[in-house]
Amino acid sequence: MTTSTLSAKKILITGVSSGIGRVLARDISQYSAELHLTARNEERLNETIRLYTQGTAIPYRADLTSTTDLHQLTDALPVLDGIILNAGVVEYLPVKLISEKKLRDVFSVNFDANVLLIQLLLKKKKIAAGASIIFISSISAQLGVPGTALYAASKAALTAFGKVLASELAPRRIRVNTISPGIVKTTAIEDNNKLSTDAMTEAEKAYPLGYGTAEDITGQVVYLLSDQSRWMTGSDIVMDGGFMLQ
Amino acid sequence: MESKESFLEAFQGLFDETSPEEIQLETEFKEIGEWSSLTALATIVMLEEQFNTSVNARQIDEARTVEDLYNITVTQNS
Repeated sequence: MTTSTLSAKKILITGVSSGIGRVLARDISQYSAELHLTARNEERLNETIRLYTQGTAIPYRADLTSTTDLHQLTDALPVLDGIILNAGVVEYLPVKLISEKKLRDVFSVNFDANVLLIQLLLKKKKIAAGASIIFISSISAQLGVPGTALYAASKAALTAFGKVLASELAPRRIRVNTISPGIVKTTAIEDNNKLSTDAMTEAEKAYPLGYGTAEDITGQVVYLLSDQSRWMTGSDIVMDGGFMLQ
Repeated sequence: MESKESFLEAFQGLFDETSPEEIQLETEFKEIGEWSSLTALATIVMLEEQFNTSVNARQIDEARTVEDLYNITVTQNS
């Protein structure tokens, strides 16, 4: 892939204020794409653009769980060639302590917002024929790690939604794929004070190639955005440093 | 401020196999047979939800007795 691989493509990335989203914005901007970036926090959104991206990058401050913001965002966006649905929250708690509020909070960000964003973009004809849609899911959806029920279920729902969407959009050659990373070292993980440093270090032993970094995800995303992946749709790509081999 | 009694009751409620009488303020909670990483997670969530106290896994590691946990809630909410 060359620096012009995504030349003139209009690409939306959600959740760019930190973690994988911020690195995706930085790295994808190096492939001559026109970026359209969203985050809830305006300051960090602008910081991502100022410090990380090159070329054209247009910010949209939006809370994707807000119906008003979703409408304003989808009105303002141009017709898109690529969409990376990255925004999400990490929330760990045992099933016994799930509350209706927690359930709603996790699903509204990790699932509902993504579904409603795609629905509005389709309705407003903002997804170009031949476009590529990428959901950032998680291998949690395929595992049964104690404490991850809400997070895992929300990501499993997202992966299933992606498969159906792939079928529905195939006639327009719009491709839909999900990437399911294992543990990637991001601020969302590091700031999650429910995981002790010792436990994280110990758990990394189960990863033959160690934990991933956000940069490890970028290459796959660029490939899925590019025309080189024109025959790929409905796939769920596991990127986990070999974790699921065992 | 929540009382020690209500804290103790909430903590006892996290256990399924251990009777409440076996868990008192002076109990060294990591010695309870049922204690696990999931109970530790449950403790963190319970402290957040019911006692408006944010603790990390390291603080749970460092605490020894149930009263040590209660004292964290007192310190944070005083």
